[in-house]
Amino acid sequence: MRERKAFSVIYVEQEAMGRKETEGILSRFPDAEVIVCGDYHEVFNRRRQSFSKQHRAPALILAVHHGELIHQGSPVCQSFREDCFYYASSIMNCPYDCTYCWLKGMYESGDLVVFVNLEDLFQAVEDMLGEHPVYLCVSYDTDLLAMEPVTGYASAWSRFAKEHEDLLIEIRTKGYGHLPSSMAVSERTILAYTLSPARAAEQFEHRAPATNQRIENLLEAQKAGFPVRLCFDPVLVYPSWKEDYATLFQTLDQKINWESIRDISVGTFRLSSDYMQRMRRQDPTSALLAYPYVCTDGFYHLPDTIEHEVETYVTKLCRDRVKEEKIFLWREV
Amino acid sequence: MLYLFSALYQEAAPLIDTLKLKKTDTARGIDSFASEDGSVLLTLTGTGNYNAIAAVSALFAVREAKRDDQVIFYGSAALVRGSAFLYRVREIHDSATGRRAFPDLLLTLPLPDAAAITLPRVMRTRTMVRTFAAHEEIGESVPLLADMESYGVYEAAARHVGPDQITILRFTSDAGEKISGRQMQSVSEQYAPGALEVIREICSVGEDQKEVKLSDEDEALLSRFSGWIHASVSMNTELSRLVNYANLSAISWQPIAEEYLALPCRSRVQGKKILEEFRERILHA
Ligand code: SF4
Repeated sequence: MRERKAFSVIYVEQEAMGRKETEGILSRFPDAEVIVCGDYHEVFNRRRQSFSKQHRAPALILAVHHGELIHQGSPVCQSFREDCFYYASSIMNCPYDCTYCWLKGMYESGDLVVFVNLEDLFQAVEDMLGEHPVYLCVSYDTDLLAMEPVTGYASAWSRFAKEHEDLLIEIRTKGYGHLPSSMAVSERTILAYTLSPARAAEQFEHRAPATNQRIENLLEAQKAGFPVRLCFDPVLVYPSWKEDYATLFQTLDQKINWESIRDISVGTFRLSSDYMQRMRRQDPTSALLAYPYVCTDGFYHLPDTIEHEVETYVTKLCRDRVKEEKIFLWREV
Repeated sequence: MLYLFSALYQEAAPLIDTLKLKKTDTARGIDSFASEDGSVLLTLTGTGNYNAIAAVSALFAVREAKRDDQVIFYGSAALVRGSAFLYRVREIHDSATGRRAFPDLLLTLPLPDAAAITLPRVMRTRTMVRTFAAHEEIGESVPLLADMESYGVYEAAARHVGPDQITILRFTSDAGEKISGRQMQSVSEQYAPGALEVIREICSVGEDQKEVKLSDEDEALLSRFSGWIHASVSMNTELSRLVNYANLSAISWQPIAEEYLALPCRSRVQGKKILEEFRERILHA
């Protein structure tokens, strides 16, 4: 007996059966046990699931997304001063396992849901584009690049962005292997790499590529012609955070040309109190979650003095390297 | 703790024998058998969904289920499609309500998986095949069983434990016709060794037990410090949180606390200031 492998069990909503995306995904897992369900909620929203046990080797759930497909950007997310800021969910949950990931607080299940009606999402975006330009985050509830070998959705989105002039998309990622050659290069697809100091990545961002690998990935993306955004969000606070961020920027100095970076996002830790409570219950030994954050208006964040110190310190590291207007704080201070 | 359930004594008999379970009192109206060390409890539910729901609920009303407990049902089923075998049930379809249940399949077991349809009464295979041909949501290639309790057991247990803690094991005993108790026991005996092997393996995979505990010395120091700063309930909560964070981050908070304890602290107001300082020192360590 062994623990199952990731995606060795695939649940397929009856309505998702026979669709092009479903067939494509299933063909990548010929040995998977495929189980038909009526509605993905029957599996994804069961009571008392163990996120951590499931997430060790998640099942895949293929479903059809109904209802609102595009959502207005949340106030705790960086809008980069874009007026029409939206996000779209084509996958729920992530194959990576970051200690601080809010998805662990949001979802009951550690399994991953892939919505196979991507064309409906595209249609909804096109409807919006008929009215105004759109800035859309498409890797919001997942890491789309990490799921590329399973879904091919990052490529599909980059093709779609290339075809639509008034659309700007952001694919936020911690990187994955090599950039897929199927990604259509366009200035309207921003590849946004989340970077953390090597020590923090190792300690808090399990299964995600190491920091050096992410830097290699972003260089590859730049070389291919994609605009690249650097995200220090959240800046992780732990005993040696200051020295470690300084080292990270020194490493970047040696590897990247700061001029060629499109922009930089800096954000401090923030998490809804409901999510925090659930995550602390799931992982009571995490130092990062045990940090004595303060709760204001339903959100946990660093104590004001530390938050200010972190923002000032990291923005100074950025300001020493790029122009002020390229630096975005999730909350303009 | 392992909670075993079977509908009938004849199904459970080989498990009761092998695990040396003895009759015990649990809840009124249900028959249970326990191991000597109390770590295994087998309960007979009786046949049918309603009996299964009643028995599982009655048991968990008097026994609080924990996160590392396992609930395993072992019993017979009629074979609708596939070959005679011992199966793990991967999906349960309740014929009365049309509802479905999906236990987690976190382990690869040395058993095939099957779909089960829970029926309100005994049916012959031919009738079942006719009735369930319409169940297009059940994949055609999966073995199909019919039973009378799986859905009830799952639903009642799922109010107390997670889907990762529920396993339904079903051996095929017949094709929908009634069989005698003696015949049932003999088929169960045939499959019980395999089932027990699987049960042992399921139980060997524990929950990620993550617990934070202070050492006795740290506990004593914390309590001295708390008394010394005249801590209120909220100050105590904050103090514990800081100490917990410090321990998990390998920050030595003890010398800092000892340092303060050497000084006088006359009031809670002063204690509050000291707590603030203590906090700053931990957060900047
Ligand atoms: S990469 Fe992002 S989405 Fe994935 S686990 Fe980490 S924080 Fe969550």
